[in-house]
Amino acid sequence: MSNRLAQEILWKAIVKNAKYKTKGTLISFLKEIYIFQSLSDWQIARLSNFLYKRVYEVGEYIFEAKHPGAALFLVQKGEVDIEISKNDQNYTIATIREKECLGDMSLVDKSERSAAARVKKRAIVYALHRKDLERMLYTDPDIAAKVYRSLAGLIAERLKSMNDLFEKNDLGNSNEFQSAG
Amino acid sequence: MNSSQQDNHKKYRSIAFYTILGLFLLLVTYYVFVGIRPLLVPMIFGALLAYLCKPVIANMRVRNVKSFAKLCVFTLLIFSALAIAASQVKNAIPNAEEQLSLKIRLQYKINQIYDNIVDKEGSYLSTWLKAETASLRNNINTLLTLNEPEQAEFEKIYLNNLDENEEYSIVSYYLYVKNNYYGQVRKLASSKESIINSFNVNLSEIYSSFTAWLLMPIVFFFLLFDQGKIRRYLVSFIPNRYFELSLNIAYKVDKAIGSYLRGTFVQCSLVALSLFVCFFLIGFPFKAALLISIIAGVANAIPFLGPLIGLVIGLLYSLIIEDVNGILPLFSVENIYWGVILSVAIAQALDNIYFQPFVLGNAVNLHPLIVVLGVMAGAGLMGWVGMLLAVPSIVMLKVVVETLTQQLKAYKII
Repeated sequence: MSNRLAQEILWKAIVKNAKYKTKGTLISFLKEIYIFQSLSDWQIARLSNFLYKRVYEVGEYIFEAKHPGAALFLVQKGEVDIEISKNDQNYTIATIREKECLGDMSLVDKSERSAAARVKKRAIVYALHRKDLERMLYTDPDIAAKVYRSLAGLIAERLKSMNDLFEKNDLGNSNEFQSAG
Repeated sequence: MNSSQQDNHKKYRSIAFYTILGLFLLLVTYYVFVGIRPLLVPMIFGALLAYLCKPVIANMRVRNVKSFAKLCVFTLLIFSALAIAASQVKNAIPNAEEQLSLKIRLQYKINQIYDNIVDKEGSYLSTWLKAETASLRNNINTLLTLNEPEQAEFEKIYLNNLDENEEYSIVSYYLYVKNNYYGQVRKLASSKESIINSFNVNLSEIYSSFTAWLLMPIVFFFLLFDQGKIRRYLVSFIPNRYFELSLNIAYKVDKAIGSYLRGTFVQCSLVALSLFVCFFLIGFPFKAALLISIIAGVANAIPFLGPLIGLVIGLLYSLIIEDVNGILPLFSVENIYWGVILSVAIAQALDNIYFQPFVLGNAVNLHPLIVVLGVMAGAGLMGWVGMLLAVPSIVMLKVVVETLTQQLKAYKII
């Protein structure tokens, strides 16, 4: 506890007040994102150095399906549709709103994007690249560990809900899913 | 006016705006570069050093100490180490007086060896060799001949306190080369004096720009202190469509070039170190061993030619070495050149068997022909600096082009 306090005091001593204030909105926004919730203020401030701010107009793609995924996108303002295309037709399967994130799997996985993300309402988005998080494993392991743990929690949650879905629909062998969950 | 016309007008205006802005910035950049040209080399070295040290500072974790304090200590440490090393090397560089006697001794020895090997009457081979190498010898003599102020300076220093006991003293060398070669050189190459003068001017320029090197730690500090601000600013200009792609390219290129440059740096340092140990063991004086091994280590960054440069400098020094008292009692003044050849061979063997595979791996494969052509082109464009920078530039170009094509294909843009 005293460590954290000392770090916080040092952080505030080095980062100027004015700068901290303008970042205040960004930090309070980031604190509400699920995978950053376990980070302390100064850790979020440190992490925000690795984020890229992007502004997308309506209809623009944030990413497209079958492209390699490399970044996580955090929506600060606006709305983003997640689309899949089947038989040359686009279907919206979900809409990502403020304070939600998309493309979180690309932080742990190098495979292609399974769906496209198209902006529905003019969006302000912050991006975190996989390589930056990987580098943080060496430069700021305490931050990276927390983020990875949250990501693992997110994946576990999804796996559980998938299992529930399978069990509800009585698909597959239930024993197998219990061991996997 | 309908909306499509308005859009068109907007498009033209923005094209005109960006063209004018681009040209203006290009012009400003050009003049800034011309203005700071003397400062450019220290800045490049500072940036390079910062780039090399980036992983070190990133992995240097001290709890509760933020990067600012950490970086201050690191910069202070590394530049005091560099300053100490630089002063050592500066001490090892012969001063003006020593340079005069080195020139004379070298000229005497080279001509003696030349006469022994080539300048014999009779055989067909020696006549042919003599004809082929006459201009080379003349060039060497031109380069080593002292000009008149230097001669006066030398005579003032050495002839006034002549030591009668030393039979092969520097004075006898001087009188010999003066009687035998200076006359020819004057007649043959009076026009070449400008070359010698320009060589001296270059040397003095390097010394006088010492204050410019103060810029190096400043550039170093600010580049390392920057926490991605420069990168984020540059990325903000990239259109959304290419955002992820450009980041991927940047990270891949950074990784490849970073590991190449850091690998080369470590490899050259290891070569310099092994050469230094070998030279010291065979009996070179400490200062000379240090200086020659550093030059050879830097030259080692030039493939193929680098090791040769080390060998030539070592051999030249073995011609003028005065006494050999090595830890290994194998070599004397007469056969020290075998020691030099052996040292370079050992260092090269270590480099090829251990250092290169260990540090560089197979990260960057360049065809030898490309390397040779590139080094020659670099030499033509920028001389020594060009030779040193040729291979890194080719590597960068190769990595950038390869990564660009690969990523553009992955994102289905091409």
